Amino acid sequence: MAGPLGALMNMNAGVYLWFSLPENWLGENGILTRLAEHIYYVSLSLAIACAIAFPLGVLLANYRKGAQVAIGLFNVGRALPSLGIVILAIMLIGYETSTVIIALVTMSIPPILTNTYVGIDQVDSSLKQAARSMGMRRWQMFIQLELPLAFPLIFSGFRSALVQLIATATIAAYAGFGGLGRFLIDGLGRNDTPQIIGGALMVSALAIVSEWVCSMIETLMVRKWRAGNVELSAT
Amino acid sequence: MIDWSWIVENWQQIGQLLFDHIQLVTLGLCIGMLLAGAMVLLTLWQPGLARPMIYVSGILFTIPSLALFILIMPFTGLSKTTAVIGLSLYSLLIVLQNTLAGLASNPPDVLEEARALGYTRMQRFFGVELPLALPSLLAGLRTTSVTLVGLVTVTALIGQGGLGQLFITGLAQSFTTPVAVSLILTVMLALCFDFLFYSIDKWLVPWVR
Repeated sequence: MAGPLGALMNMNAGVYLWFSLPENWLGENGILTRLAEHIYYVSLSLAIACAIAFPLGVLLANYRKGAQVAIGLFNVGRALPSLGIVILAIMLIGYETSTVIIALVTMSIPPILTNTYVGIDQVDSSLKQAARSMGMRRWQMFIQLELPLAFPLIFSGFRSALVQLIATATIAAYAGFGGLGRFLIDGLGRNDTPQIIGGALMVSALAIVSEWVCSMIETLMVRKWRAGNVELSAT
Repeated sequence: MIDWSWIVENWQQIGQLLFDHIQLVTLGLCIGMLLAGAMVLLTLWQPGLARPMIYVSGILFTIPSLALFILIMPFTGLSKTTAVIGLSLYSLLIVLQNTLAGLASNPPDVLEEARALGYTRMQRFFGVELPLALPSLLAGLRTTSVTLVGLVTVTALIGQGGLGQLFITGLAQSFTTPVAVSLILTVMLALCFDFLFYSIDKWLVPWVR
């Protein structure tokens, strides 16, 4: 078959073949290994980023001094292109796994920090006053009032960090790191279309599935807090 | 860390790449906006389309940028067209989501009043709904432009990329200067776009602040 449609059919057959070969999945540098690497990069850096950005966001929301400056600074950080961050990190720190983790953590701090700050800052002050007059301590107010109310926004920051991390971890393959991006970069280098497309489909699937899991978690959490509220009003 | 003489020697190339960068961002932004506008008009005619549109654009937006560019490649190859299609798609998604969200959060009593005053559907949209949703539309454009400035650099991996080309050069030659120059220029460009839309926002909707 000739023409662009024929080429497309051939490509589909190639991609199908790529996915159907067991050695492409199980081999030393197979899909499963790359997927595991990708998930490792993303989850480790997300955990570190949360451990840094979440307390910092809470702190900023409580003390407010310098909050605007910090948020502004982090907004500038959002404009930093991920490819450049990864490449600069390699040049400054050297070629190690920790380098890519550092670059990824840097990228995912801004959304989590900003959303934590805004989420907690936005909590209605009359609610806070009511909580205080009911005799809630500061930490009780934080856990029972501010955190549940800020949760949707904090979690949406977490989600955008996650999506961004999956994308950036893909790009990090260009600098020689592992993960699913290897299929894209190596495929581009060798002009191996089935591998490029197969890799792109895998990365997209990973991103979409993670998003879906997150939205499930969000629904569950919101439902749980709602149920808690009903219980509270019943007693 | 920065080799100034390299910058002086290569300023023409840097300028050209900066120009390419701005061109790619502007093209992506304009095409994305036009498409988003068309789709919003479509939701006027078929309001039921708004929800699936937000849903689908949400899914498309989660696709990592490099993967998206690569999935377009079989159709348009390693060309500028591929980059522009991908960038337009991203801006379409952000602008569409913000605009639809803005339109959905318009106060219903105002819309009711407009109808009571005898506005037709089109009059109501352009005279009432769109002006009210303008702040969120412009907020969407601000986010989009900043995001696109960063995304353009990714297209360097498929042979385009404006200033992103300097990352490739820098990595290939283990030379920090081009990487630093490109980082600084992209951030400055992003801030310029951000400020541009911020100013438009202030000028168009002064009643918000």
